Amino acid sequence: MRKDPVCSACAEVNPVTNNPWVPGSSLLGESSNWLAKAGFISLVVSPIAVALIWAIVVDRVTIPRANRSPEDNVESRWFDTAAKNALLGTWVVAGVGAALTKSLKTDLPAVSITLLAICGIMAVIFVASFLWEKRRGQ
Amino acid sequence: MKNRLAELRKGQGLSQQTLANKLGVSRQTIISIEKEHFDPSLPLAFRLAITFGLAIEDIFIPSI
Repeated sequence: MRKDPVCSACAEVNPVTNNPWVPGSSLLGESSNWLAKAGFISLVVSPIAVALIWAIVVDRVTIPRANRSPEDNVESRWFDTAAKNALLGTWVVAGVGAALTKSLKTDLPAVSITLLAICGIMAVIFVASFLWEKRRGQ
Repeated sequence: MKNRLAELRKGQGLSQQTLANKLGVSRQTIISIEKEHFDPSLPLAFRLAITFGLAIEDIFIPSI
């Protein structure tokens, strides 16, 4: 079984921390302080946290000039279309990227595996969502 | 789908924003329906029909 070539620089780095191919990983390294780590994690998590808190806590009725039926808005369809395109686009890019990084025998085996994992996770979520909607519709 | 929304709205002297506020949707939604770029949901179509005192088929003309 052929083993992927690994560059000497990559072999010495932790796969998660201080990895030059993982954005922000240097902030998670052992050398960085807790404040930087907390800041980085807050930055990554805050959009989802804010959206979640907004959905749970904020009552639409209390917001001046808020639409009573946002699900009937054309913006809702734009959002659905954008989400669908984002899903399909990410799927294609991750799939092609995984194939390229694997077939071109680059020094990026972790990238290939990560992209493949992204494709797999998206497929699982898609199938689960489809089956859930199918069950609801029956 | 073809529709008479712009004609009916202007007939009642309503602005797009006023109609949007009445229906609880955005002004852009009214613009998109009038330009026939967006087919409204059934609940919104019913609200439109009630607002103008007409049947849905009097406002929307299916392109069969």
